[in-house]
Amino acid sequence: MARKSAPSAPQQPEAAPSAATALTLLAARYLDFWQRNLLAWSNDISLPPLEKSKDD
Amino acid sequence: MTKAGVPAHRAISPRPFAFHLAACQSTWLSGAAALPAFVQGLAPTHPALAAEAAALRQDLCAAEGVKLAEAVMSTALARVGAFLDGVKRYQAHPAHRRLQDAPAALELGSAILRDFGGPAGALPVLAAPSLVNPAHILDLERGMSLMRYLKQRGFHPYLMDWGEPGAAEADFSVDDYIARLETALAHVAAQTGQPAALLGYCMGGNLALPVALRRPELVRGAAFLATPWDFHAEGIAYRRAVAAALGGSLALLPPNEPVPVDVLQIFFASLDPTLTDRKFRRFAVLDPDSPSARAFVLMEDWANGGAPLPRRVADQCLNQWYAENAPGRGVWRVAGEVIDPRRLSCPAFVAVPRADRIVPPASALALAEALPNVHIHRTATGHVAMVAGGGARQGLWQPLVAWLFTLC
Repeated sequence: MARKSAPSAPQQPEAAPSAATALTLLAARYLDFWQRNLLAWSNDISLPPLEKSKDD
Repeated sequence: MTKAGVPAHRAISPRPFAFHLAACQSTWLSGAAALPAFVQGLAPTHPALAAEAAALRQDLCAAEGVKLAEAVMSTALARVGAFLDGVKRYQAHPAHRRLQDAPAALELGSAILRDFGGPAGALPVLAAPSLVNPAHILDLERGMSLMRYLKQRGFHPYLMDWGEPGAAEADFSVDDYIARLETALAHVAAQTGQPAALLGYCMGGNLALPVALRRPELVRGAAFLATPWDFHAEGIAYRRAVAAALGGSLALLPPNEPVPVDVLQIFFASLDPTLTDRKFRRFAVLDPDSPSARAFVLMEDWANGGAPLPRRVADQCLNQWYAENAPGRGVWRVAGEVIDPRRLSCPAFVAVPRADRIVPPASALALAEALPNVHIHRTATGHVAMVAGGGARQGLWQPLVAWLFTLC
């Protein structure tokens, strides 16, 4: 029994961090997207044409 | 400067610090706050990112809600912390500019014409940087100095160091600085016995063009590096909006006083409010002894330096240039004369950096298109990296020198 259970012991701690890591990576991916989304909107700003100047 | 040679302003950089910190916090904390709305498809996503947003939303929906929210908030706070860590590392970094400024050939009020020397008979090259940041971006340090490279290649470089405006410059307009550059050019021509090549970087090009038009007998050729001309060109709407807001805010500042550096810095920071966050978080994990870290520190010291801008100059740049686009519409006048690039008789070189956030390529290209005898050179870099970055030698300096040789 001891021999059978031994291999599973190291696997247990590995499984937990990998789920947490996956969540952290997903959170980072979302925030990276959020920042690029903000930048994309600000770069894409368009203004109504200015009033025509007398010189035009 | 402090005793260690570190500029005193580094302690309050990146400036204005409150702006950068607020932009960083606002980005990350708004991201955390918007998570539920994003997951439900209620947060507006840019059309160009729609496919990525859909895939991301699918993955977020598969995660356990509360744990995901905790992870996002914790990551958001960690990013604010990483930004602050980067700032702390920058402020404590021992690197500083070690080059001695070239000696003065002429003093004009607070401005100094710096003479880098050169062989007898060498073509003089007079460089005019912007009025906003220090002149030493063209002489940052050994191996990162366009001025010293030009000397090494057999030219005789001069650099117009505009200095900090004092009482004499308090009421200066753009025209007054142009007149000063003209005086410097006449001095260079007299000292070297020949006409010079004029080189303007950024708005330094806007100062150089009227001089080249007014004194053709003193100018062998004119180079314009990332010089804005059409201020309403494609891709510039956001810059116009920021400039308009800032131009309007000038009226709120104490009258007759120069515009503080921090106000000017807001203009540049507003062009990409996320940039400082990304730069400093990246710097936080950079090997502090690496050449990249050292270059970062020197560049930041330069970018956060600079002098207040005389009120009339700021007003002209923000309102006459950005808001009204007087240069691009062909109605910009200096000392009563319309500045028309089509009248420039000497050969011209126009450098256009493709990744320029400060002067969009279309704005600089508009000048090139109006010049009758022009060599257009495109670089893959941004506005500052083009003149002083790691790829500057191959990307700009060598092609520029090749063009300068055609003038000899």
